[in-house]
Amino acid sequence: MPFSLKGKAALVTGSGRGIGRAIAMQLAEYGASVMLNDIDREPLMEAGALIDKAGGAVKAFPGDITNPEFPQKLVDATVNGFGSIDIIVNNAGYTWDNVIQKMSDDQFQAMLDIHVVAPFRILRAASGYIRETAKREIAEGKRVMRKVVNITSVSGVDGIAGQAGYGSGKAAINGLTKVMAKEWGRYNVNVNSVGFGFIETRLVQPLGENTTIQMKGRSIKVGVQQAARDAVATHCPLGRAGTPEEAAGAVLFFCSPLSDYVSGEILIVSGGARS
Amino acid sequence: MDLGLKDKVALVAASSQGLGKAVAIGLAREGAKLALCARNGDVLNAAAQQIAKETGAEVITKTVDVTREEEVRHFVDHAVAMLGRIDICVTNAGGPPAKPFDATTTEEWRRAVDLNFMSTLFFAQAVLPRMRAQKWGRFIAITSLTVKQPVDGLILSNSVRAAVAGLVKSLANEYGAHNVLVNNVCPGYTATDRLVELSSTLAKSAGVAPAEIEKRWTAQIPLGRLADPKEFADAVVFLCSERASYITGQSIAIDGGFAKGLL
Repeated sequence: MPFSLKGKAALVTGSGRGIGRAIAMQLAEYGASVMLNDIDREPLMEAGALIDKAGGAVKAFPGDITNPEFPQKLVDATVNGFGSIDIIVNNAGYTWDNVIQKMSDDQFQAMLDIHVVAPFRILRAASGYIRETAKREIAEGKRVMRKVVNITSVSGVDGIAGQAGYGSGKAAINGLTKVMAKEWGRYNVNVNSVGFGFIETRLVQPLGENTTIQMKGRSIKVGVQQAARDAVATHCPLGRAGTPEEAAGAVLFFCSPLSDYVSGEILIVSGGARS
Repeated sequence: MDLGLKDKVALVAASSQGLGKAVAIGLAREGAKLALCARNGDVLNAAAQQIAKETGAEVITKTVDVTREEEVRHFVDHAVAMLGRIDICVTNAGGPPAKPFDATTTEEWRRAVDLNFMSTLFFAQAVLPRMRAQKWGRFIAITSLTVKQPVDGLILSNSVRAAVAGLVKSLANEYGAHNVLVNNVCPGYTATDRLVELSSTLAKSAGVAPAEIEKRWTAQIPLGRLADPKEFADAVVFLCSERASYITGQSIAIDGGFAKGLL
């Protein structure tokens, strides 16, 4: 193990399932204490049980990060629960696709709310702790690096048809990454984006009648046409979809001391697929 | 009557089956969140899934041997980490074997103390400081009617459960000022798997059919029948509730009138 995250407290949003769960498990495996958050309680409790069973330090604070009051509570719960907040992974997200002529205002706004507005509020909520703590550490002559990883997508850098809302949200989060890398460099915070391509999660399951997710009382169709799933074999240089664990690996890198001099970057994890 | 249990966090020990599971279901129906433990993880998870499906309750589980202090402590810590707090703790464990005094070894006595007394103590140590800090708590020990009236052939239960009753009464005195209520519930003959096991053990040693043993029991019960686990759970759920806010330090029998003492 080239590094340890022992003593670090990490917050991972959307960590009940999929890539978020894999990120939380890897952070815990490397010694970080992890605050889990998800809007869906059941998978969140499952993720907590898995990390606990593996010997990791874990807490949970379920809830909807798009509720304007919630991000401050979530950050406070992390600081109060573990005594610090050293790693923030803005991972929570979902797709709600339609071509532009069928995309409602609510739909477009929901994609901005979850993918950029909520991460903004979470970072703003943590800014007090991060600035005060960093100033104190710097005054004591210590350099303690903290980590922010914002999750983006190839949809946000290259564009994917049908994702006017999702792609816009995922592009906007990269703006936040670039700005915060500059604002928070002086506080020894590395701020980076990791963008995923075709990773096997419920969002890219084979499209069918019942491939929906429940989001705040609404049934939202997710999934990808079989033809598009098959196209991964030819379109992606590695010729296959990625696993949540492979996706999480890149996030772990940006949460680790291995990336202490990397900031404001966007790392695409797509098996080489770009369009 | 609104029991005020919505979103309370309840920990129920040995809850994969029998009385513990019945209590868990009862609390879940009232909207409590559950942390359940048992020794057998598969049976426990099946029970948890069933409860979550039937009631929509949030349920976490952990495989725990309640005779091991560190496992109990870790379970309580994990429950707090995942569910945020502990409001209610219902302790429970399997029953000790049914044996006459001269067939009971010292090792069996020690095991009975570990299983039924020390396990209750470990939960009390782990949860009571938290309940005191939040100025609200319900600690319920599930023991047995043997606390009210010793039962022939159950010398381990008769003796060790009485110690739990002593612990409960003492804790009620110490924690009353902090709005933490501590009570003991004494199930009588209740139709659980454990009772079937007990009736066949006793039947074998008496040389009669298990049905005969059951008849002997019900003959002594004013209500003339065994309890349904749900009837036991209803009483426990009430004691866990906001509506039982002036009841502490009691040993309450849910035994169909079996115990013949006056109080």
